[in-house]
Amino acid sequence: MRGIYIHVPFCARACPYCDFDFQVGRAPDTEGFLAGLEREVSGRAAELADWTGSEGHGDVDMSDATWSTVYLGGGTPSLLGPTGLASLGEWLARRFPGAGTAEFTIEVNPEHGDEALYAAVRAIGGTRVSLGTQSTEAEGLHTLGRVHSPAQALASIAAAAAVGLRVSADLIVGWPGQTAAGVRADVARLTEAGAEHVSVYALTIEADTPWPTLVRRGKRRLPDSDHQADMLAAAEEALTGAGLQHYEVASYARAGAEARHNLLYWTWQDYLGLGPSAHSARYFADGSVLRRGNVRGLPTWAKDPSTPAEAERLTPEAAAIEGLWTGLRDLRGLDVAAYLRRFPAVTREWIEHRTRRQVARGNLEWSEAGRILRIAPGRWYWHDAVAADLLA
Amino acid sequence: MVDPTAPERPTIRSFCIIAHIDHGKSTLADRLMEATGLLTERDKTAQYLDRMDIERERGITIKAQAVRMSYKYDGVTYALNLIDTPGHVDFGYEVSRSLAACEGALLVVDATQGVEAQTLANVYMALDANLEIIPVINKIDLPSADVEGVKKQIEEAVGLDASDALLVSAKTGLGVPDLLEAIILRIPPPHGDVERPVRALIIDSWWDSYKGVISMVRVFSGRLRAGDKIRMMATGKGYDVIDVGAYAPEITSMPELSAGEVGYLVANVKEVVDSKVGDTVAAADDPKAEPLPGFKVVQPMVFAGVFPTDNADYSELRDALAKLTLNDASVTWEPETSVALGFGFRLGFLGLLHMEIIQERLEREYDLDIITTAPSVKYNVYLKDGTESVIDNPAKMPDIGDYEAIEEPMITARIQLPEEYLGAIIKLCQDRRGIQLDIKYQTSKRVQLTYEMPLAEVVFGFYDQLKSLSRGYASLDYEQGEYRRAELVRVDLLVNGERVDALSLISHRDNAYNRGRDLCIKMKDEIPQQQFEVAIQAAIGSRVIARTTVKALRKNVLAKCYGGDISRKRKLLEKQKRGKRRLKAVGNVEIPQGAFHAILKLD
Repeated sequence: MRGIYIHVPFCARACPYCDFDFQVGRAPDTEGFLAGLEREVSGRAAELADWTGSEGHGDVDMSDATWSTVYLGGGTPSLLGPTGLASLGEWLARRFPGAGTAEFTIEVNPEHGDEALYAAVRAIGGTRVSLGTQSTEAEGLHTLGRVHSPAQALASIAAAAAVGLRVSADLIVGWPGQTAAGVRADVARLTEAGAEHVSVYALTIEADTPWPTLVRRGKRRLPDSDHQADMLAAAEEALTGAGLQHYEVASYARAGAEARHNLLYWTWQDYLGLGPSAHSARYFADGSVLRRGNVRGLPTWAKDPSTPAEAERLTPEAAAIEGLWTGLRDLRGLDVAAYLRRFPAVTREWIEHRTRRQVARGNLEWSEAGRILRIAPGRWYWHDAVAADLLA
Repeated sequence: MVDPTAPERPTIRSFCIIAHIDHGKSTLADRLMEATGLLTERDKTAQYLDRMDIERERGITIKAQAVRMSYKYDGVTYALNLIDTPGHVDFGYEVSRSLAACEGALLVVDATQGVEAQTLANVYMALDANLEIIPVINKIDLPSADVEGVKKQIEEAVGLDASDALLVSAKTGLGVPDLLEAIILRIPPPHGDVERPVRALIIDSWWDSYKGVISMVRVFSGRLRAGDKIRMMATGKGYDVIDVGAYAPEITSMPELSAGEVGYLVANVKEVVDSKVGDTVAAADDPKAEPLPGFKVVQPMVFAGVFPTDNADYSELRDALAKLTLNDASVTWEPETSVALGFGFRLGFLGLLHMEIIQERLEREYDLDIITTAPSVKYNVYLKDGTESVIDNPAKMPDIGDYEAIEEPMITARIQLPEEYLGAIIKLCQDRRGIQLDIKYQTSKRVQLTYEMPLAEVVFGFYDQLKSLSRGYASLDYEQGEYRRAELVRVDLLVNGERVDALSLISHRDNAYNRGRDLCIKMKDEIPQQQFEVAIQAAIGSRVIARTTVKALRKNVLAKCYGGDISRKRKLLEKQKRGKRRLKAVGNVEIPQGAFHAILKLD
């Protein structure tokens, strides 16, 4: 498996909590953006030829040399509209024929999620939409600065499901004022409307966002860690109660509806990131990994889209350490045999040694006769602490 | 100390500068060196006398330094010795020895600030040593300078005649020639007979990687020359003089140092402890030599454990201490083991500032991550079985019921303060178990209090409180007194039921409950939330006297995946990990370095 991520850096307006790379205030320049993507791919031609030509570099499942998943994220890809999406789809099909056969996801804002847009999604090969619903409560949407209504959120899910698209809905929890009952109602509404995958994020305030300024002006409050823990717990209980499995720290899905592209990030697979601030990862036979980040900001990126802002090749051991904590994002566990195939520089004893403290603390556990290492039930709340400890 | 009947050495002047931090002592010293040709424009990048980074940053002098300047006045060339003295109560003995090498002192006062309290203790020491004091009003070039007001203040607060105070600007050089003239005309020359057997006073000693042990000395009689055989009178050990000379400002050899002169002495002394501050250097073949008065062996008064944050750094810490004490013989150290902190060392210091300086040097010059435990004093403990022991570590204090009595060291503290703060300071001294011995009005507005107090009470933040209650205007100096019995108990701190030996403290029984409670409250703020609840208890023996709880942190997870930007996530995790490096795991609980000092922050 390997995937393509394309960052579509346009938004109608900024959400006060978001520090992703986006541009607001003007109509999206689809043509200019596509020209930039074209220049990026041309500029990275040698890298891509080498990449797609390489075979069997210790990959778990590398027989398929095509790009099996595609993810259009943002920003707001749906802001391109049916026409813009069609152009982007055409470009993708020309440059990466056959890409996205396993899964092709497009992020959609609820206010854009209508029949016309979904028809365009289907037409370019889209199989799945990730809807930025965030809340189904008017208060929540207002606090989070979203423009859509609760009704729009639910209608956009139903409309997508009606045309046969798989639907993932985002849910932000822990905004000040949210209640456990509200979270339970969110989950009920989202799943009843047809979401078979729900991503749950605790509201995180980043420094370079409007939120801290709004707090100083008394217009918002900072989230409270204990309250967030309560809301996360309420979400987990409601979602699993509704029949979705908590399969990854931030993700719940009905059987078979797991997000295949997102799982690439946690299961040591290659991905190609295109567009401003997009990230790529490429593994090598010795288990080392090259991580590459594009420059932020559409204008800067457009000037020279193929020169990265950062590129770092982790040593086999550093990559193996990273592989431990990324692999543990998958709550079903880390398959030790697959891990050792990906990271041949380390051994089972190395894993046991490095994880001993967290196993002793009960945060990690071995299961299935030592074939699987996983975060212990209920301890996913501690994933970052566990991960930080595994670094040393 | 000086024999007034001995002949004058008319072309020598030795003096020090007394000044508050920022009042321009170092700038003025630089200006004097420049006026006498010792310093070129190029050398002035750093203030010359303060050689160590920490001294420069804190604006304090830790080691005494001396420079020799030549200045021609009225056809005669004079040797002017500027002796830089330490400026803190911890180093009171070193100050007294430096003053003994001088005939005069410049009292430098900022024309825009007036007299600051900290300088007063040193002024009084200089007056006690019979030095000629020249008031110098600095920064007169500033528009806010108030020369007349400052003169009046010097007369009222210090009791010195300021009518002929020198007016200078160390920054522009204004008034510096007049100051040099005043130094020559107003400071008396030293007396000393060069024909009599040599006697010299050691003002300071330090380790130099090229020359070995260098001692700064003031010669009171006779001559010191390379090749002379000498004897250190306190230790009785004999040495050969290898080199003598002066700092001008770089080390400069001279044929001899004679009576009245100040300079350096290098002999074949192997360790700084063999060349003690205050000791007398005499000729090896002069058995009848009388030592110069005032020598004492400086004893550390404050003790604390120093542990590497990472136990693997133990040998690095040991090497660092070995090197550091080459230069500072007043630090004592011996191995210590703590259940909570592992292997480390128990260090003895002259006082709290001294302790902070050493801690900072270990971290900065030797790049070590260390944990310093709260300071303690030395107690005499009389056990029920009739034996006695000396304990400088609260963790080793026997359980209540196992001892008959404990004695603690007392001090005599002299506090000088403006009258308006008298009420607050008297209350502070009483709260710290002080007994008033004397109260004296020095002027209509200035009072001197003399208290007998337990040293342990002074060690725990007394100085800071004194300063804050008097807005910086109270000064403190103290001398050691006798040991006295007191009702003392060991208060233990338990974290999740386990005693943390490094956090035990000794308290007077009457204060134990409050101290224990305050410490629990303070520790609650210091210990970060962890994955589980942390109970903090204070106990005397098996009796718990106070308890606080650090609530469990419910989550530590950031769900976002930043669109595959694993590097960003990794950097965040690395930051989290670095934050943990300065935590010490005690059992399951991670305790930050600051927690081991929480006791110092109690009111």
